[in-house]
Amino acid sequence: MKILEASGISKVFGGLTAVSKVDFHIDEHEIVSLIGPNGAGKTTFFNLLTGIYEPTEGRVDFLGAELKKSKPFEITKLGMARTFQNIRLFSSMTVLENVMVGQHCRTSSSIFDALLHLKRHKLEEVRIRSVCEEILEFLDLTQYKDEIAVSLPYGIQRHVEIARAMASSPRLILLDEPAAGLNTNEKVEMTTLIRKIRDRGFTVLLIEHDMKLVMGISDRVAVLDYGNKIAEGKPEEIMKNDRVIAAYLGKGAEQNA
Amino acid sequence: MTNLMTVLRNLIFYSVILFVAIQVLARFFDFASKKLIKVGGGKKKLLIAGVGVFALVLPLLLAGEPYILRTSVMVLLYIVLALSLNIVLGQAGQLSLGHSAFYALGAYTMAILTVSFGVNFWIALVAGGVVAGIFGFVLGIPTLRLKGDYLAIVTVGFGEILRLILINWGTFTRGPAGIPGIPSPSFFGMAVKGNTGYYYIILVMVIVTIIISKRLEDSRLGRGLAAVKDDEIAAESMGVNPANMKILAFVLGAVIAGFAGGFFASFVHYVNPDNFTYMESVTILTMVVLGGLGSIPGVIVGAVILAILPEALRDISTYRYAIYGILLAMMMIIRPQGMISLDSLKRRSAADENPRSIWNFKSFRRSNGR
Amino acid sequence: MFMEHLSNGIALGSIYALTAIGYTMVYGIIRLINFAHGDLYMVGAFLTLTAITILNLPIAAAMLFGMAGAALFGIAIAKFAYSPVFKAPRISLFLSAIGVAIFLENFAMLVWGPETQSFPEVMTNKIYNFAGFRMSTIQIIIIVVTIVLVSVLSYIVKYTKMGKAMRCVSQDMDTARLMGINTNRVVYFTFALGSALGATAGALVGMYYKAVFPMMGFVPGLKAFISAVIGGIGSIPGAMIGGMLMGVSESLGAAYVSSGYRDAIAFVILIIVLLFKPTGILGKTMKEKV
Repeated sequence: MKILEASGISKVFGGLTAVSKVDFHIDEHEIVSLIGPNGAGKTTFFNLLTGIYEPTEGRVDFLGAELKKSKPFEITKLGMARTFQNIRLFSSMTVLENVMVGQHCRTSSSIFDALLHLKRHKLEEVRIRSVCEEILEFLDLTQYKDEIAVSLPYGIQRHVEIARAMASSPRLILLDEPAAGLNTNEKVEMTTLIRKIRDRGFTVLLIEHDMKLVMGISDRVAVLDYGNKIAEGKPEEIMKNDRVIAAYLGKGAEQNA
Repeated sequence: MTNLMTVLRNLIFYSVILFVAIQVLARFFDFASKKLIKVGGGKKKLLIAGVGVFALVLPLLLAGEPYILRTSVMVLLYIVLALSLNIVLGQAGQLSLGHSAFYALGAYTMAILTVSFGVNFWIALVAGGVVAGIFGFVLGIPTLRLKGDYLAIVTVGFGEILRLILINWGTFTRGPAGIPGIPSPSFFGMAVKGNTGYYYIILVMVIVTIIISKRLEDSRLGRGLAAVKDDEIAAESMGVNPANMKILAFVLGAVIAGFAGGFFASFVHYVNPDNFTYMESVTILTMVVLGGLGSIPGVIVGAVILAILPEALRDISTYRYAIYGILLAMMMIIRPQGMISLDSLKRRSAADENPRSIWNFKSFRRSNGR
Repeated sequence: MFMEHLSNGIALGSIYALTAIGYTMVYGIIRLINFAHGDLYMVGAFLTLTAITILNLPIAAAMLFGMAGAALFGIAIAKFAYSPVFKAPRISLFLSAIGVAIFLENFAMLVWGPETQSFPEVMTNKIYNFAGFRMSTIQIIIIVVTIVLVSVLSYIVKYTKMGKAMRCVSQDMDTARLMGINTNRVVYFTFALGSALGATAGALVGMYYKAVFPMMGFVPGLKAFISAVIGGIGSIPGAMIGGMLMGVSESLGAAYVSSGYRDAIAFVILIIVLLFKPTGILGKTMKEKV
């Protein structure tokens, strides 16, 4: 079943076409990777899906309904969560609190419930906490839960961001370069983790530069270059694709190969 | 020229004292909060109960000291005001410099309703909160599109416009002359006479405000506010609607300030536009910054210090606001997190990492913007 | 009558424009609304007044004295209050600026007293009539001084080495430094220049209304900032246009709408501009990178 479908979406900034008529879809329980050289428009594409930018043309369908001018928080509520390339954790919060923010859109107690400590609020707080603690356990982050998140090592922060995204109970998780800045060991851990997330029932869309990681876990890979989708297919097909090799290594490499 | 020399000498002298005082207080509060965090739940409750009992019996201890009792009432009033601004500035991160406008709305609602229409104090008090809340909502709307310093300027404008209305709308507000003769409340038929009655009313308001702040902080909405404060884009991506959060903070902060204003009007029996200037907003702001943005115990400490200070330093009262100015800038440089920072409350371990040194004169090194 | 309000508005507008340029320049370089800028305008007026009454300087020299003094104040503020918090979150920098503003207002109150001081008559004020368009000597002086200063400023920004450096820094401070520009010097120079322009505006206003007082910079400072926003913050021609619009609309609004609310007009304009065209007339859009 198609969980997300982008049909002919483009984004133009002034005179620059960052994303050009891209067709793309993700099936449920897939791990799909989006790769491409720097400046190929991958993050812009992410921002189009999550509602931070509005497409200049084309449409995005998520869970069978069109996302028309939806705000990012509305899209998150529909079931799409993301992480950021340059980690954006909440700096005044502990790890647990950061993750608890993820549950915001799954809860509904009002200001009066909270101020009067009504039962609804109390039950919800207990539920939020247990859901989040379970996620932290799942990601082996329990030991850090009361630390201020931004004071932790970089690799841990990446995991906390994923935990926060998972806490919003999404159907689809978008990971923007989750392995950037990690060392070899941490990259292996990240690979296992992404598999674990998928096995838990999430669908994963990944932007990544690390080819080893991408080719190891993806069911499908799409390649962007200068805003155009130049290839799509199974990892082994992509590795052999001439246009992809040309995009990454330049035209000359093609002839030498 | 001699005047200039005296002023400069005094200012340098006060700055040095201020610098030392901030350092000493900071060390003290770091030490105290480190100790307190380690203290168990039972002892903490005992401590809170101790403070509560002290606050309850204070008027009895001060029976022969009406001046000190009156000052205590003002201290408590400023705690309420500072906590109300803290919801907007500390918890939601929205820089509001027009907070005295909400305070004024509450006070004028009280004055007009009780004096011109003979309305009961308690009803007028609630009405003041509601009126301020409505204006909080109105002011909240521009905040949806504005950030940081732009928002601050709009809130200054809001405060100024309201003051102009108070001055110019003579038929309703009696203009610059103000409204005298605001009656005292009665409580179940008993007239509240003297400062003792007012003391207990404001004490209840302080307690309620602390509970509201604390419960808000520990709720999903409180985390939403903090998320918007820390990183609006990330908050939005995590499913938090920033618009709702900001409006919530503005309305809640305004309602509480409105209640405080109503109380103030009745307490001093007289309001005029000069009570609610920009400087009043700045005073409240300085309390929040001194105590620690977002930290409830910190803000209380900040309000207590700055409400007592002018009384203790009557001789140099002309220097009061100049000192506030230096204090604001100096706090930002040597202790931006305030006396009791939010971080130190959350961290179980020590809050003793890198206190920034004033001698560390960093030059302008950073890319523009954020 | 209309013509009189218009010429009054143009004179006022020149003053707002001069002050607005200071805001815009500082904002362009370090992305800070220098909340203390309005108070540097006040300091400039007081220094000029002091130079006339105590040092017995002629008016032109006194104004230069005021400009130099305010420039020094500007540099000192940048050095001691802003540079230590430059790396901290924006809110710290802005709160520091508010602190400086309050300090300057009360510093002036302590040194020169809280009362309004009258500015001496420095020239005979005549009314000139240009085909129904009446202007007084002082109004003409204000406009001429503004035109001269803005021309000098434009020359500095466009053609001098420092001006080029300023333009680089306003685009990207890090890159500018990597290219060998001494960014600290550029920042201090910008503060000095902006403060000097603000001080001139303050001195001119002192002459115009013959009154100088410690809080005189607060509301005009806000209005000048609003002018800068209307024109598009960061743009010097924008600040000129915004200042003129502000001066004229305030003067006409006070005459024909309500004089009691003349200070409110500016804020109403600000809210409208920010809600409908937040980048101002000549401003560029800046979007946060995700």
